Amino acid sequence: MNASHLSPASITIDEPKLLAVSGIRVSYVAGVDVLHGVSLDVSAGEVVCLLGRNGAGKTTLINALCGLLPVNAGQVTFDGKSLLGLKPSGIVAAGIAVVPEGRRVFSNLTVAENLAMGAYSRRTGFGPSWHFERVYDLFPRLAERRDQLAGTLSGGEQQMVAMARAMMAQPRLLLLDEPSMGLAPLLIELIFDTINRFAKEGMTILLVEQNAAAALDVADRAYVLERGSIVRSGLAASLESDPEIQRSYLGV
Amino acid sequence: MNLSLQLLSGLAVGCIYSLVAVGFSMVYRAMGLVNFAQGDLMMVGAFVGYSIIISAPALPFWLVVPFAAALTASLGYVIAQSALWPAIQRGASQTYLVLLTLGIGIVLSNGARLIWGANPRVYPIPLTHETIRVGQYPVPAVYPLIGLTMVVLIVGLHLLFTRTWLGLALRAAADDAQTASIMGVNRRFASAASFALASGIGAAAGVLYAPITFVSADMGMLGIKAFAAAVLGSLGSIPGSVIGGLVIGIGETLGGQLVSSEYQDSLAFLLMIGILLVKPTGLMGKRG
Repeated sequence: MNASHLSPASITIDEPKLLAVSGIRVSYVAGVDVLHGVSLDVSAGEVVCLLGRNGAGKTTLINALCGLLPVNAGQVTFDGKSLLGLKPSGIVAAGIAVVPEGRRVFSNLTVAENLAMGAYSRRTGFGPSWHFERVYDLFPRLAERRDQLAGTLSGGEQQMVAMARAMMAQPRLLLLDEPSMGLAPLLIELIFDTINRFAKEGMTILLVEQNAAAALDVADRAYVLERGSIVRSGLAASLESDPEIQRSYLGV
Repeated sequence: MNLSLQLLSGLAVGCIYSLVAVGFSMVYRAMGLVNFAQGDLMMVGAFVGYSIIISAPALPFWLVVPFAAALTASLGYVIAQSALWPAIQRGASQTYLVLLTLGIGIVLSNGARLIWGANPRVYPIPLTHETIRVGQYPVPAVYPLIGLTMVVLIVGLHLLFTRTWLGLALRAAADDAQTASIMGVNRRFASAASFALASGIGAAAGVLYAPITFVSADMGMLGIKAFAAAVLGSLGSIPGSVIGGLVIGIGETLGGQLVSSEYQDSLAFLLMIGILLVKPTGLMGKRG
């Protein structure tokens, strides 16, 4: 339960992990690492959350996983295959979709066009082959606004667009970067309800959050990232009851 | 009525400005830079059209347009891939990128002088001299073709941007290139494709403009007026660029007629300054 995932060597290979990150170093400027050898893994069907404060390196990790930042050292495998050196397009094609920090909807595109872009990596014919219905079932509000420009939506609706857009890729792993950031409490509840629903349907999720209480509620396991290193890991329930975590992340 | 005749010629020239202005806006949206080589790409398109006519005299004129556009678009693609993208990727500032496009423009116009010579050329086709009658006045026969091509190109662009994966990807990348890339759009390809498209549209404008003017290496100067058109319509907006081009074309022709044709060029910029004074974000600009 405690720091069993601290070192890359402790990762067991008997059970294949869907995502296995071992000892990665990532930097924006050459020679200045932001992530100092981070290791974590996510098994199929699991919801894993990554807690950490501003500047701990959470978004850096997400950006490295989706191919926006190069990995200087270490290994990242997805379903046993290395992701290192793949472009973002290769990573989404492999089955990893991202809900980026700050939503990042295409504001000059309609809601339907935003969702279509989510399916870009699986594009076949243009139009009828899109799998809108399922996504609109999840977010009926988006169905009502399908022809509205995404930039005119509220923050909560934009977050729904970003999540629906990622689902359009029909991913095997969903990366969620701070989905509750900047939202009103009622909307935060709605977003976490949706994450729960995704989880119940068997979606594998890596959730990055500052809202530790809500994140630990939906997650099976959790990692704590501080200054570019994983300092704690374990079952979500056990971290939730840990006094130190309560003090520093749960505000108890 | 002489005025309506001027209006027609203003409209025709305006269409040319519009198409080049659309090129400015597309590149601005896709790459975040003002491409001052846009006028020179139009000039290259006009010369490419000239060479096509010389080497295949039997080819109907309306087919020269797409061929010249495709060849110039390929040139634009190569320019974007080999010169602009490396600069953008290394984080070149706006100032350097704009200087780079100015430099590309100079290379293009001198290159054209080297290939096609310093003397202005005239398209050796009947269309250059043909007229049609509008009411009782003769009008260059290429005018309806200019109008028609402009409509076809704008409708075609609209369909491309709303009905195809390529168009959707280009718009998404123009909106937020990084997020588009995590959806699987290749940023480098998207910016080069937009640049190529803008070059092709400029080339079509050049070929259509050629029968009512001379084709010369200095022809790219028209790009400055098209830039004014794009700015007054609000840079980055395609409908704005179309309207801006027509406003400048009609405004300078009618104004030149009313005042004196020597002031025609200054009138284009006066119009731009006047409109920006009243509406600083341009005709189609949003507030703020």
